[in-house]
Amino acid sequence: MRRSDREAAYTDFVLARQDHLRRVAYALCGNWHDADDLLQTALTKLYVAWSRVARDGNPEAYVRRILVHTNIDDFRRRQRRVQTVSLDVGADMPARERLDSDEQAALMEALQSLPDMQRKVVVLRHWLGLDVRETAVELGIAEGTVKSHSSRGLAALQSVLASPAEPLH
Amino acid sequence: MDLKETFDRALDGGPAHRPIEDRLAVGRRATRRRRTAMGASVLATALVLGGIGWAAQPDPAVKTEGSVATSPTPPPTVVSESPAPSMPTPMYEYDFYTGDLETASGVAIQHQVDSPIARSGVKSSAAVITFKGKTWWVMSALREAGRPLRNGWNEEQEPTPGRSFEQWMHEMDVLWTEPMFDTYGYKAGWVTISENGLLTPHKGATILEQSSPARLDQAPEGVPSATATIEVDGARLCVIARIMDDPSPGIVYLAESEYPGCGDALIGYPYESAP
Repeated sequence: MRRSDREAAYTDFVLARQDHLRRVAYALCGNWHDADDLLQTALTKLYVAWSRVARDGNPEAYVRRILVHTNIDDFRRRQRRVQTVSLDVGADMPARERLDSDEQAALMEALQSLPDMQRKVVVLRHWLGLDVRETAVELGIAEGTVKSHSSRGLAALQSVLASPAEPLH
Repeated sequence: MDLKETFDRALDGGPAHRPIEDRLAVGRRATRRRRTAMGASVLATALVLGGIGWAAQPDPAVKTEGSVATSPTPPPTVVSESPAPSMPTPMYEYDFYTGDLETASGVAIQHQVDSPIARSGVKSSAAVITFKGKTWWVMSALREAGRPLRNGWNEEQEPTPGRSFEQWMHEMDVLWTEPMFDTYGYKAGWVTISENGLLTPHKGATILEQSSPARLDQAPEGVPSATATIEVDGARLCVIARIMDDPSPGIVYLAESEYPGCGDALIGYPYESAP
């Protein structure tokens, strides 16, 4: 394939999917700066591997995998964010004023407060709609681990975002 | 509450995307760099094999008899992508649930400092350890009063030549203690950046040196950016600041003992366009 043809196909894909892919990056990183950098890194790797990836027929899965694993790399390198853990999930959780006023900010804050792998599982399973097996393959972990991360992650989100009478789906 | 729908709403928006021409240019550059690296690798392999071949030649001054067996050329090395990384196990940390200090199996403590963070309600410990044959500086802190939410952090760093363990501990304290008390939206606010890339100190910080723009691996080309070394409460910090199409500038503070002069400092992800 000539370079111009390759670049035309790459351009079509990027323009069609960069919005969605950056939202995935944003869900993983929690801020637009890092999300933008992360997406650029992934799209550059995609450019280099375009011929092979396009032949395999699923460039989006390729980029998503880079987003997830590049973020893990970053976690390993920096491990420096203050982490917050809920000790009593669902019980005695004080109401947070901003939940009523800014659901969007609250969700992102709650999502970023999850441990790294829980956050990835929640994003892949409950936003992108991957099933347990697909999530396990994507993250390179066991299906049982996906299930436990999923239930803990959802419980933590629920404790911040929803009342007990309104379970998250 | 439909979580997917909530996600869809929460993740909407964001700044404008980089132009597709920029993405293509970065991709082309990365392809060229990769080819150059592969070419250099092949050349290095050839030189090594050539060297081995040369070294295996019999000394012309030594008379040999019979034939010399030559080994077949080894197959070329196949470079594959590394497998998906697994989650790391912290070497030294407070358990969030029990509040106990835990060390990974195999950690040997050489020197330990109890409560290096002098702030009430914070449990902290730091140490110089050896683990799997390497020496590490490690430090962990936990905000004890945070119930039902509990905040904490743990850090690990290979000793930096020319920098002391005490200096590193103090930098960690300055960087990470305060965010434990405001994990949602904490802003250190020690510098601000102007549209022309000039940094201004605040809250008692002192700028020791600054330069603009930041390197290409620290900020995209064409956006206001700067790097600096600052001093805050006696701790030296590296600053990387940039203004992108976002509501607030991205300003990152790093421990100067880990990134002397901001060298090899990363904001988060290396730009493929880095020189």
